[in-house]
Amino acid sequence: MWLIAEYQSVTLFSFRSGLATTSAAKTLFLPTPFAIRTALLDAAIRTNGRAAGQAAFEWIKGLSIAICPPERVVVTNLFAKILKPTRKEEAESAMDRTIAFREYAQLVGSMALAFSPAEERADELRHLLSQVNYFGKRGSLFQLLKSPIEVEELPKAFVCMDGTYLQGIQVNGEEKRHFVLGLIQMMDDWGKTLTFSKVNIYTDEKIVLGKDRVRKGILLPYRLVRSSKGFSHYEQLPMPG
Amino acid sequence: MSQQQNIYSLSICGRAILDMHSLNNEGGEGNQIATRMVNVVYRDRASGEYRLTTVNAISGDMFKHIQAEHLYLLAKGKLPLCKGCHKFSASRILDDQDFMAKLPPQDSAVIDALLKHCALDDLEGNLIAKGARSVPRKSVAEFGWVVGLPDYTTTESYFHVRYAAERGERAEEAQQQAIFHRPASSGVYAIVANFEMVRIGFNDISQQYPIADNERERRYLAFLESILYTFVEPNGAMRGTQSPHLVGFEGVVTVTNQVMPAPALSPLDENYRQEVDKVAEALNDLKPGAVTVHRFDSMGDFAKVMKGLIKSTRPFKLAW
Repeated sequence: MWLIAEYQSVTLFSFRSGLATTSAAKTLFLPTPFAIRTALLDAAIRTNGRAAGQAAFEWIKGLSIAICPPERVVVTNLFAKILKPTRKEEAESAMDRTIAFREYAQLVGSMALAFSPAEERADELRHLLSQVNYFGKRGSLFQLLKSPIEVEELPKAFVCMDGTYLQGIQVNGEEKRHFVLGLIQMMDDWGKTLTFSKVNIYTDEKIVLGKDRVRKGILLPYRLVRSSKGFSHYEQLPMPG
Repeated sequence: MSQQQNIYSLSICGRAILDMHSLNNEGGEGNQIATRMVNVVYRDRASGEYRLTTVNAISGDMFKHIQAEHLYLLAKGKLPLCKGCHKFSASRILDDQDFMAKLPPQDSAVIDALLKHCALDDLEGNLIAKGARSVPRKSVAEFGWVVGLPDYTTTESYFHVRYAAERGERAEEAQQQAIFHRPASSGVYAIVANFEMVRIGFNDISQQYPIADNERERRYLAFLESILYTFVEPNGAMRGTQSPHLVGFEGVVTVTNQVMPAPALSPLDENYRQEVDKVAEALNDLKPGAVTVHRFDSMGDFAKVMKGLIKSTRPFKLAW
């Protein structure tokens, strides 16, 4: 059984790739599985308290996630003024003004997320999905369009976030006979060794890349239509029948 | 006396007509100033085909700065402010040497101290960075990019001359009148903002409110007022000589009185108001009576909605 939630991007979306730096932040087109799971955990904690979040952690970790990407993505690249903690020892202010490269994506069309909860968790997941209005990046708002629906089979337009993916030169996950050779984006996901204590940013426990946070090369069905120095315009490729 | 309604979250989505403004610029190159532009796709009304276009935009950072400045002016002398916020420093509490010198060892206690010490850091957020340590305070306010509507937004560059030649900074400027170009944009702009009222004075680590309920309410009222002023007087760049003509403002204010984010949709879509109504209906199916949608067709209507909220609501309080 899959639970499908349809969201609409409300503002320009920006989500820094894990490979980018703060000075040159290239954006991903879509939220990562790490951000989606963390948004659900955050919703559980915000709505029912930390104990409820801790209880939800394991089943959120076990969810399969698939995504039906929006029809088009237009990425604008620009330079923005930012504040950075100063490195000067005797500075007048704690922050320095500088500039940074930023990318903002307009997602045209809705984005659907599909999850595979155990039957007894479906209502709880439905409730959490209605509480989410951003994934990972504050200000990059999303709106749930209607109450999530249940389907038996995952529709063809969905890309499995834990389907076929690349880790280094290794092809992992379930192999499909047909897939669209679109764009590969490096997306993070919760690793098997991740614990609630590690995901809690207020503890001293650190998340180890490659174990607690795994980086997956996920194939997104997009092709570049047009680009210039200021933007790139992508459209979705049809999924194989 | 009518009972005050608790507000968990508030969203604003609207279309504003801003004419001849230059609120957000990318920077200068020679004697030219480049305004902020973004690329968006839209459906052509006549053909129904997708078209790509470049439009003027004002960043959410700029709008948040405008809102924070109005809040600062309202808070001065009435709400607690740190030394950084007293002079409206962008670093906020990081510029309060006394506070930073006495940071408690526990992160949770740092946030408690911040919430008690400064209303602006509470509402607008900060990152307490000291050495290897960083403790985030997430903002209560979130603004999206304010994007011009394709077909209804235009940007021109205007030629200017500086007549005060004797004030030229460089020798060649002192000899002759300096010329320069400034942009001005006019059009219909899509605005989206979201405010998590429930988090006013809320410590995300301890999941407690370290400040008293009446102090939360005082901050909430000032916050609501600053949101109203943000749209009445949108501050920003080049206001001295190119103050924007705010010709119209229409949209929706959505509020939730239960644990649920207030719905918002992009006003780039012309049917956004009807769609917000549909989303509110769907969310009210999940939690009956949770979402209220207030429509407004002018700045006067918007002010009336906000005034009504200021008079009849208070911030929701989480309790487990």
